Amino acid sequence: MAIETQSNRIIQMQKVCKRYGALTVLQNLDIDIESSEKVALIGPSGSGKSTILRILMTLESIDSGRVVIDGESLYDIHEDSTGSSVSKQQVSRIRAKVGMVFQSFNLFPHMSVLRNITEAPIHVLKLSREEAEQQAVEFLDLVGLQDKINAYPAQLSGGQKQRVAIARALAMQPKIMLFDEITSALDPELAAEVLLVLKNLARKTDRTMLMVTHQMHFAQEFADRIIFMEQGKIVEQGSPEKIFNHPQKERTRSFLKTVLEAT
Amino acid sequence: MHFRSSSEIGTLCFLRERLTVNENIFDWAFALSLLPKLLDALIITVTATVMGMALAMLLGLLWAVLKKSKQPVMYWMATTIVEFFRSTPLLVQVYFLFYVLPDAGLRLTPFQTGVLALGIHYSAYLAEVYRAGIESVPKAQWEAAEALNFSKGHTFKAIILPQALPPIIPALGNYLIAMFKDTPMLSAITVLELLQTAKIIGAETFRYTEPLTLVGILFLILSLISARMIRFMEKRYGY
Amino acid sequence: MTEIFSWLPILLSGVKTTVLLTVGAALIACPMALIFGLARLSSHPSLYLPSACYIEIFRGTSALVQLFWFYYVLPHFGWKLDAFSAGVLVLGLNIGAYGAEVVRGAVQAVPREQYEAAQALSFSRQQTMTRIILPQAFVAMLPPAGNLMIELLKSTALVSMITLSELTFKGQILRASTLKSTEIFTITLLIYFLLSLCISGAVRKLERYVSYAKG
Repeated sequence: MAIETQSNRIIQMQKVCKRYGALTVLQNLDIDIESSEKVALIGPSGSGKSTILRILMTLESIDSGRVVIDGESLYDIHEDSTGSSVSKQQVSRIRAKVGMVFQSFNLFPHMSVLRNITEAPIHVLKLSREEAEQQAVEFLDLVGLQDKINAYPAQLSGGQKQRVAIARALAMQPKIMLFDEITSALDPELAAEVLLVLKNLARKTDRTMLMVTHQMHFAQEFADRIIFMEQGKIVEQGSPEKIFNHPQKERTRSFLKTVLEAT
Repeated sequence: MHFRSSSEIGTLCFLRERLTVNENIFDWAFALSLLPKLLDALIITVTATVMGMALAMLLGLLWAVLKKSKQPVMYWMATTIVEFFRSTPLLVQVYFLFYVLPDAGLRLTPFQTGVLALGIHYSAYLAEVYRAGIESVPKAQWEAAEALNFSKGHTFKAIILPQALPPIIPALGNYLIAMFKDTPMLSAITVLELLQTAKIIGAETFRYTEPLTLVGILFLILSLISARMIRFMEKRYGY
Repeated sequence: MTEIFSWLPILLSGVKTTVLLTVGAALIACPMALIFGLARLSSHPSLYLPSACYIEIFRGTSALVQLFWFYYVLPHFGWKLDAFSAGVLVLGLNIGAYGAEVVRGAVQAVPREQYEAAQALSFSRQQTMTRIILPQAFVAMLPPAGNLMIELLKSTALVSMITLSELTFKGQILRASTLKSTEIFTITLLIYFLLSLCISGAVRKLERYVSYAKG
C-alpha cells in the first residue's frame, strides 16, 4: 500500500469523524502538519482538541476519514464504514514515531525516575542498559532533574513529574511529540517551570510538536501555527500573530477575549 | 449485564454436564426423593443464618462503638476481642461454646449454640464494616451537629448512623452470604442443617453422591441469587 | 497447670499438620488465583467462561461441603484422596477462587491511564501487563491476600471433620480424654490466634518491603 507523501507533511488528517454514541467529537476534520512544525491547538473544553492527539497516539479509533502519519496510513475508512484496516505491525510502527505527554503525567509509580525513562528504550527499542541510562541522564539534564534520578514519582512535585514524563517520551526518540494539556493539573508556578523546559526543547529540536493548551501566552511564544477549534471543527488557523492580533472570525475574538481576561 | 448472565449460564451448563456424564453413578430418582428432606434442612440453615446475622449486627455495632471510645481500656478491649474472634476458626469457637457453656451452667440447644457462635464470629467482621461506614461520614457532619448543640449520643443516633448505614448494606449482604456458607460447620455439633442431613442420608443409604451434590447445588443457587440481589442493592445504595 | 505442659506436645504435633495444610493449600491457591483472576479479565469467552465457572462454584458453595464432596463423592468417580490431600486440594481451590477475585480487583484498580502511558511508549500488550500493570496490582493485592491467608489458616480446622489429625482434631481428642473443655479449647484458640498474628506480621513486613511510594 503505497501512500504518496506530498512535500514534507508528517501528519495528514482528512475528513476525520469521531463520535461517542450520539455525541460528535470531530466533524469532517482536515489537518495537515509539516515536519518539524510546532502547532498549538486551542479552544473551549469539549472542542475535540485532545481527541485529535489521542487519535494520533492510537489511543482512540475514528469512525470515518483518513489519517496518514509520516507516509504510513493509519486509517482510511469511508463514510459507510468500509475501508482498509492496517495491520498490527503497522500500528506499532506508527506508534513508535509518536510520543505523548499526558495531563496527569501517568508516570509508573513503582519505578524510579531512571527506570521510568529507561524501561521502554531497553525493552521496546532493545537498547543496552548502559546506552539507555546514558541517554536518560542526558534527557534528565535537559529537563533539569539530574538530581532526582533515583527518586520515585511519589517523591516529586507535580512539575517535576511532568518534566520526567517529558524526558520519558523523548527517550523513545519519536518524530512527533504530543502534549495534552500538560500544565492543566499544575499550580501556576510549577506550570511555568514545565513550560520553560518545553520552550527550550522546541528551540533545540526539529521534532514535530503538537500541543493542546489553555495557556494562550505560551501558545503564542511556542507555536508556528495556532489552530482554534470549536465543536469538533476548525474555526480559524494561522500564525500566532494572525490569530492573537488579527483574528478574522468573531468567535475567535470572543473566545480570546474571555480567556485572556480570565488570566 | 449481558456478560454476567452468560457467565452464570456457563456455570450451570458446566454442572449439568458433569452430572449427565456420570448418569449411571448419579441416580436422579433417588436425588429427587431426597429433596423434601433437604428443603426442611434448608429452612433450618436459613433460620440459623438470619438469627446469627441479627446477633452479629447487634454485637458488631457494640464493638464498633466501643472502638470509638476515648477510654483506652474500652478501645483496647474491643480491638482485642474483634481481632481474636476474627483470627480464630469458627469451628473451634463452635466447639468451645458447645462444650464450655454447659460446664458454666448454661444449657443451650445445639441450634442455639450454633446461632450464638455464628453471631459472635461474624460480629468481629461487622465491627469493621460499621467502622468503615461511620468513617465514611464526613467529619463536618459531627461538627455541624456540635454547632447545633446536639448531644454526642443524639448526634450518633440521628445524624451519623442514618448516613453510615445505607452505604454498608452491600457489605452486610456479603457477610450474610458468607455466614450462610459457614452454617455447615454447625453439623459438627449435630444441628440438622443441610450438611448434617446429607451426612445422615449418606450413612443410612450408603449413597453420598446424591445428597452431597444436591447440598452443593442448593448452596450455589442460593449464593448466586443473593449475590445478584446484593449487586442490585449496590447499584441502588452505591458504595 | 502442669497438665497443660503434658498437652502441649500433642497440640503442637497438630500444629505441624495445620501449618503443612496451610502452606500446601497456599501453594495451590496462589497460581490458581493468578491464572483464573487474569483469565476472568479476558474478553475471550474460552478464557473467562471457565474461569467464571471455577470462581462461582468454589465461592458459591460452602468450603465444608466441598471438602465432604471431594472426600466422600470423588471416590465414586474413581478418584480416591486421603484426608490430607483432600484438605490441601479443596482449601487450595477454595481460597484460590477468592484470590482470583482479589487479583481481578487489583488489576482493575490500576488506572486506565497507566495502560495509555504504556501504549504511548510502544510497550506490547504482554510487556504492559508484566512490567507496568501487574507490579502495581501486586502491591494492591497484598493486604487482601494476607486476609485470605488468615481465612485459609482458619479453614484448615474444617479438615478435622474428615478425620485429619490437625490442631482442632487433637484438641477434640484431648477434650474427650480429659474433659477439660475450657482449658483445652482456650489453648487451641490461642494457638490459632498466634499463628494468625504470624501471618499478618509477615504480610505487613512484605508490604513494607515491596511498597515503592515512599512519599
